Amino acid sequence: MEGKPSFTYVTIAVLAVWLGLTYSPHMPFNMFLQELGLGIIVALAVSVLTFKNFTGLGLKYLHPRRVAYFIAFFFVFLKEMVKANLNMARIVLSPSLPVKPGIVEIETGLKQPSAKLFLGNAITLTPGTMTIDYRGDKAYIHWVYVESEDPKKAGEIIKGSFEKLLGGVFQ
Amino acid sequence: MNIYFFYLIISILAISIALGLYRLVKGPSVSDRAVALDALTNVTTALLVLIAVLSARFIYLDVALVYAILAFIGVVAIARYLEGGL
Amino acid sequence: MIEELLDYIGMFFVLIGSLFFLFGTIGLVRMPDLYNRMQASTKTTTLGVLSFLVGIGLMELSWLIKLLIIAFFVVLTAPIGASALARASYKHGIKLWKKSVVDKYKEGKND
Repeated sequence: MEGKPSFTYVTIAVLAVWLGLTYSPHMPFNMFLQELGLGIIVALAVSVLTFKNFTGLGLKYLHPRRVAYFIAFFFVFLKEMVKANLNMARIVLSPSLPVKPGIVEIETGLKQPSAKLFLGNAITLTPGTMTIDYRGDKAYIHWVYVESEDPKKAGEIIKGSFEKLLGGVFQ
Repeated sequence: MNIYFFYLIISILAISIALGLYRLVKGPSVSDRAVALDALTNVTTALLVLIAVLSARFIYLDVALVYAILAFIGVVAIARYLEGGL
Repeated sequence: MIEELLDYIGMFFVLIGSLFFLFGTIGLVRMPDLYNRMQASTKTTTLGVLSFLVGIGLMELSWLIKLLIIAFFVVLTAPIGASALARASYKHGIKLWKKSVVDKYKEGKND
């Protein structure tokens, strides 16, 4: 699976981005057809040039189970993000500035680079934590209020349910 | 569309930009300035969208989009420079 | 009727978004060291942009798709930029705040 590029997948993704960028409200239909035609040409050209750089599962990403996991991940992520920001607003506005920062180390069971990227981004945008670096399976996290220095316990608090959901999407 | 509401929003954004500029001018290290610039970029993106709404031009949204992309490239370039890879 | 309601919901989102910008920049000024500043500003301004753009999109419904694309882009790139900058600053030699409790990144440097 790993390292197998998919030409069709890249073409569809590039075409969707193109249509989103050139779309405008109250567009006449023939103009939309023009954009679609040009978009297909551009998408083919781009994917001929770059599809070797995109590795992954290709069209298998669109399997319904993966999509369902991804939607669940998205909503959990939104909820956590709002919680994180209210927490951060509370810290910033309180006069005593209750911070106890530090960098902790956690382990992740995810193997694929793109899954790690999503996990890192989700951690960065959620409660008081920010991914600094990955070394192999270990992630280094800056934490505004360190609750535990033990890798296992910290990992449970920081990752929450993200890792399980992402495992459902990518593996 | 209540114009007083937009006055309120613009004042909040102006205060945010002033606070960000304070850190941008004072910030002891290069990275502090880069972080301040990053935050200011997000505020500016919102401000550009607000201008697009107030002048009712859909095409102005492209300005905000390109601004956001260029800001991201700028931050990554600064990061590469600090790491010594540029 | 429904448009008026959407207008008010949109105004609410826009107000929330701009307040998050304010909190983020207050954090930028108040926090003691670079990494904490980065946490405060990156997270809050990212949610600020998301909320602001969704609010504007609810006011002008036909703009919603493009605004969501911009918001998606910002939400996708902001954490990458922040992580890259944090790592680069660490390697550049910017220290953690002196009251920080633990630094596993430095300890693990030689493996």
